[in-house]
Amino acid sequence: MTLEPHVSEAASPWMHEGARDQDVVISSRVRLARNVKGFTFPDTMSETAGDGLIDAAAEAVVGLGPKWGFFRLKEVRPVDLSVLVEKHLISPQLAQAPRFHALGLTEDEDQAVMVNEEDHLRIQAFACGLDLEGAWKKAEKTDTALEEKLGWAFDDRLGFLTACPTNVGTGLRVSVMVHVPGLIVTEEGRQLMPVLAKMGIAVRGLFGEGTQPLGGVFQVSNQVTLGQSEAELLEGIARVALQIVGRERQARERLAQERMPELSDRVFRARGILENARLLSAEEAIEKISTLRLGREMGLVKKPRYETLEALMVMSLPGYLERVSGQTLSRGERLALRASLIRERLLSEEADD
Amino acid sequence: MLCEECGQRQANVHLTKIVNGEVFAQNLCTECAREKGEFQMIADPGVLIQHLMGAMAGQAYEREAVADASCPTCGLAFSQFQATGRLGCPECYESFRSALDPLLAHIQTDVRHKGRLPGTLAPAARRRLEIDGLREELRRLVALEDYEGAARVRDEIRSLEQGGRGDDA
Repeated sequence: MTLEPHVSEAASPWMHEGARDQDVVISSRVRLARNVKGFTFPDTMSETAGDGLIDAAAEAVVGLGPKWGFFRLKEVRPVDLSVLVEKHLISPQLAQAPRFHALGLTEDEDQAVMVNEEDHLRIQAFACGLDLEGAWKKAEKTDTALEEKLGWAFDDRLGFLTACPTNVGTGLRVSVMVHVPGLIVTEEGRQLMPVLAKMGIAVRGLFGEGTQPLGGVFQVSNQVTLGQSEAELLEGIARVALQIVGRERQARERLAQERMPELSDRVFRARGILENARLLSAEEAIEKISTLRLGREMGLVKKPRYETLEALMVMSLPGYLERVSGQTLSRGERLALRASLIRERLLSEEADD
Repeated sequence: MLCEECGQRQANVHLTKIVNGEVFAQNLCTECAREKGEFQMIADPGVLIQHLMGAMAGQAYEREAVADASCPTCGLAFSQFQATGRLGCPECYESFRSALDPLLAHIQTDVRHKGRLPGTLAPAARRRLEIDGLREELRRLVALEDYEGAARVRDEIRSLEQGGRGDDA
């Protein structure tokens, strides 16, 4: 199996229309941290042991079935690694020092196994909209199958043992990516984020730094991994996600009642810019895509499709642009290529019917 | 607005809390908010560990001189863990137990795993852990005065305990 389709197409095949609470929740993700019995953790492993672990993981991952591919990152070009990071299929940490790292990936990109990151294996599963149960079932099945081949480091008292004590126990991180442009412009919404942090819920902006993340996209996840069961952790994040969905919808309703002309003006201007601009910075692109997404979520526009909006986000990022052009780009060239990729994708979707 | 807790000082901390899906608003003065621990914020895990390690310095684990101990299996010094927040191998949890347990008690819900067990776990160990879990369930049901459910769980524990005789010895 080749990596080519995973780095040439901007959208992941598992993204689709018609998922639950898709007007606010972009995707649901679960991650299991696992380590193989009898090895030290990746940070302290010898090169020989690291290679041995990659070989064992390769065999186990390939044994999962024909839809799985296994890639040694030392054989992957740096530009392709950047695209995998931009599509959130691997962590930036895994892309660094690729000599010691590997990746298992399904055809649909709905599951990924990172090898020798902070822990030996990081099993991840993704689902569209709010579907933590769906993501969990996939990860659970993969975990069971891999454990038979590899055998996990486990302690009766502390559960699955991980390099960092913040992951020990279940090794489970449950997260949802939410699009909350309404919340971040209202006072109530601005208060919600620090409140979540105090409840042991991590909230971080996906693009940009600081308190005003670009695009209004946040990742919400659990901090605690020990002392609660997987079911409790999943339910906890699902409950928080539903709270956020409810609050965001309220905020949008208020926006629609009080500021409709301004709101629709912004949505249609965003579409106008994305369909016509000849130069686009990443910041401007992400902001306009987010605004257009809000228009889609509120029913002001019928297009583009949700998976297209996700593809546009990836098209805005530097690694993907470099990969498409096949060379290092100057700033000016990047602005032009970004604008043209986004424009073409939007116009081709409109021509579809 | 006056503080809802002491009713004397000016309320300058305005909190919105969500507990089990219910939203609570609270207006407190700085002193009462601090007393109630409302200023604790969750930080980045690495930073959190360093912070807690700093705050806990001088407590039990230092007296036991864990600070200069190292793990016999992988050789990682405890001071390295304090610097990076990462352990060297699975055995580190046992090697540094006296220092790690208080840390885990701070950052986690409980210092006892609750949840999935590996499929390859030895039958005796699996049974023991299942019994632990059922005992907790039993306590919960008794507290809820669900005696019918509790009786069912109690029978389940008994049958597990009986099935376990022989290979536990």
